[in-house]
Amino acid sequence: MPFHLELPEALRLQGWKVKIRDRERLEQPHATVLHGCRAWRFGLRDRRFLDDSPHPREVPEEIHRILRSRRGALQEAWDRMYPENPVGGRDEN
Amino acid sequence: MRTEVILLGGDGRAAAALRPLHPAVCGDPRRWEEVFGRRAMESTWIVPSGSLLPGLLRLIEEAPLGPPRGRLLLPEPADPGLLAALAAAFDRVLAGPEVLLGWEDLAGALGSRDPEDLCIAARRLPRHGALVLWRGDLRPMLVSLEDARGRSPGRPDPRRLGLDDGGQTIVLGDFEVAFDALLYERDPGFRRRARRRMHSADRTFGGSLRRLRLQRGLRQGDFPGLAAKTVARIERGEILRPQARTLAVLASALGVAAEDLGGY
Repeated sequence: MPFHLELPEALRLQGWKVKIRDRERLEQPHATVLHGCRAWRFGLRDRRFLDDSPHPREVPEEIHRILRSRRGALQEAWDRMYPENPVGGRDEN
Repeated sequence: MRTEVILLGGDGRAAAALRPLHPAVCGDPRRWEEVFGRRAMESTWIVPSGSLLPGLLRLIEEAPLGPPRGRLLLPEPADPGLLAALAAAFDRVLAGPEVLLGWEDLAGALGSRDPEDLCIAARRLPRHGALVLWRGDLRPMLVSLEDARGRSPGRPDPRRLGLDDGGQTIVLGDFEVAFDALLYERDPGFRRRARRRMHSADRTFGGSLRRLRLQRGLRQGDFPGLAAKTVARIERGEILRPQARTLAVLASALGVAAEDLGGY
């Protein structure tokens, strides 16, 4: 089951979603902000967007705030879905 | 790369949804000859109704400049003989997929910067345990259900196949696959585009090696003859130019050519 981060209704109605799908690119651990046919990967290790394009400024400030405040829930979901590459890392070096 | 869209037939819903793409809409078959003059190399022709296909084929046969170029999207299934003839006239033909994006999402995908990075249509191959996924440039991609599942403990249900997020997500019942995860593993062109979008700090050789290693489910100690510490130092950027023998070991264990190690 994918993990859907709950968003305020106004953002949902505008078509914004934040989710971790069952099959994602593994590195780095991230949640994906989706709107229409565009996506932004939000890194869970260092709490920043992983890509320059599309620019993170295009994501509403409220979603930035929610991503920061709900990082714990996102990390828990990622670690449950991808135990082989947890947010905290598990490499021996 | 965006393409010019040519819509044949009088489907009002399709025309309204595709309007942002400024398509050449030609509802009256008697005027189709005019749009044949466009002949853009990168055209995507959309024919919403199968009943228009015999007329399209007749026009192709009679076109004084030969058949049009481009891609043909037929939301409805078509007669196999007709399809074979159309396949000879167009670069790519997608006909009657099991699942097709809705018109609004399709317009968004075709009008996006990289339509080939989105999935616009899908079909199950139940006997083969696989899916065919069509990209926005109408290129098909065969994906086994095993690959679609990856190492996830979830259970994809292909009987409930769908597309979501404007073609960025493949839905298999309660299981969701990020289309970019499939592209990342299969398409060097997609990887190049993805790397250009990354923050510059993540475009290093070490970053690429780490992504590829984790994508393959390997640990730093899983490279015969290489110390885990060495792999870690390469990934952290402390070894900028690994020796040829080291590269060969890494490439062999990861199943790629040594020169591709830095492209993930």
